Amino acid sequence: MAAGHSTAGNGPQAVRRRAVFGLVIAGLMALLVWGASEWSYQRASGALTGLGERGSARLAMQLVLRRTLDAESAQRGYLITGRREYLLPLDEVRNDLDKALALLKRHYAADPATAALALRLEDRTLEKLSEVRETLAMYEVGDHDRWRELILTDIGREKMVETRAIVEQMMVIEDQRVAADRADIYRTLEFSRVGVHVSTLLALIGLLFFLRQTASMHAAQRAHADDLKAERDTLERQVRQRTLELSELNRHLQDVREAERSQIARSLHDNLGSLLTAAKLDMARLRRALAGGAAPADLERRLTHMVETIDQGIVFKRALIEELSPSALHNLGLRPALEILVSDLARRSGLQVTLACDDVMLGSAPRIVAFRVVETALNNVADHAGVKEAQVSVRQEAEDLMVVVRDAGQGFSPSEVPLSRYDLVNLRYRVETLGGTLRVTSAPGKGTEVEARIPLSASDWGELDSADREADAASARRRD
Amino acid sequence: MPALKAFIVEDSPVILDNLVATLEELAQVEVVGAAAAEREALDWIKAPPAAYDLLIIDIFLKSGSGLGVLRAAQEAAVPARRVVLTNFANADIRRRCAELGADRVFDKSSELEDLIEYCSDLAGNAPSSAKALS
Repeated sequence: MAAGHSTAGNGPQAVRRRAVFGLVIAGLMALLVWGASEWSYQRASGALTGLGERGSARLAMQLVLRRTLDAESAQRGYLITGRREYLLPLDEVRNDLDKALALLKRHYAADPATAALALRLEDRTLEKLSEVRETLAMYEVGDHDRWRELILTDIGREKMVETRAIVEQMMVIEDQRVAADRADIYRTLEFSRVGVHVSTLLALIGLLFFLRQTASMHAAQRAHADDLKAERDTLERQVRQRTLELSELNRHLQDVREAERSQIARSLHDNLGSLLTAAKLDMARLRRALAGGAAPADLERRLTHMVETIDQGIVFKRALIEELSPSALHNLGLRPALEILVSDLARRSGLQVTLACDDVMLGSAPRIVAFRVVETALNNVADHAGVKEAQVSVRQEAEDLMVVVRDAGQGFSPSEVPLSRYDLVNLRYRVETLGGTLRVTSAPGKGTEVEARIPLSASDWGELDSADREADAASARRRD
Repeated sequence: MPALKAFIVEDSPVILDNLVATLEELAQVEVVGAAAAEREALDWIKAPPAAYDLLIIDIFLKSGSGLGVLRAAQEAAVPARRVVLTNFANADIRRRCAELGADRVFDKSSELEDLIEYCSDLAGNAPSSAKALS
């Protein structure tokens, strides 16, 4: 039906499947884009937060250093000048140091190495502070030699140096970490950028795919519509052909009917007409004879002649009726009617027919059609086959009656000769009306076989069965 | 002695036989020839092997038509009387036959007696053909 269209790849089903597939892909992509975007954001903002904290940590470290230096400067100033103003910063120092160190400890808590560093810083710082406090205490009590000694031990300076070293180390670590964080952010941005490019590309591809799908679907719909139109055209053609066939058949039937009627008219005119005219002539002679006082013997002869004439009329009438509608078929059944038909044919045309007929109970419609099939087929054999033998088989097969008429005559070519030539089209129509089939197999030189399959339950006269019985009864009365 | 010689054109042997017997018995007619088809009849009229006084023509023949025979007889100005005996003697046929020179038209079903009477009369009044030929 869909000649010229490849239905496998572009049928509406396939197109719909691909559309769903496309939707799924689009969904996944959207999910991907959203996911990547979220992840980038989280990482970047995490990194930025981290950077912020690192900044704070750096400040804290520098504060520790500065404050420690402040403490040292204060100590040194006081020790050198003995003026109490130099000690003023010391109060803030303790506070700031505590806060800064706490922040640093929190900041580096996660990593044990850096946590250790923070603790060391704290220790050094506190040690430095205690050194400052001690020296100040010694100065307060006037123990100047001791504080000078303490200072000369360089503990303070060492502590300072260590503190500085630790802070520098921490700064280096921080720098590294900041660099790492920044690199991270760049990577994230890069990733994001690539992701967007890729997503855009995929989106474009998706769009193209979608457009192609739409075009495909439209093409499929158009193809479908074309298919439907082609089918409609084919059906219309078939309907036209069928109508033509039926018109032909109808015309043929009318012709056949007219031919039959004029034949019957002719037959009646020639036979019955003549006999009745002859009877009237007899009457005229009888009347004259009576008027002329003829002898009873003469009258008797005249009457006998008239009776013979009338008898001939009756014989003709019976023959005509049998020819039109065999009484045996109605009263005795299919097999007796076929037997009579076969013997009649043998007598009229010398055709020897082998008859094998099941004794089947049939409704009147299938009975008549079966009879006509055999009658028509055998008449064709007698008229056209050129042989003197034929086989007829009437058998019940399951729910059907199989009627087969076969001959080994000269056959014909059904593709060249219309079946109407042999009265078979009308027969086929009658068989098909009963729901059966008629098949004619023939080839030049190969004989002919006519096979009819008639459902046993067929009755196209269903409602008329009682009328049929009436007709049967009436016809029985007509048969003298 | 039969006074009237007749030639009958009729295709049904049954009717022909009965008609011949009836006319010869009841109307002093001698049937000198018969034909069943138009061609046969025309041939006979052109060259009649015997003299005749009456043509009895049926319209429906084995081939051809009795009207054709009538026309030919008219054209040949045959001296014999011409009557039509037919099953279908309606007004139209009667008119046609009269136009073609038929003296009378008889319906086979209802006017057989009339035909017999007509022939009788003709036989009674007609001069003997033997006298006419001498």
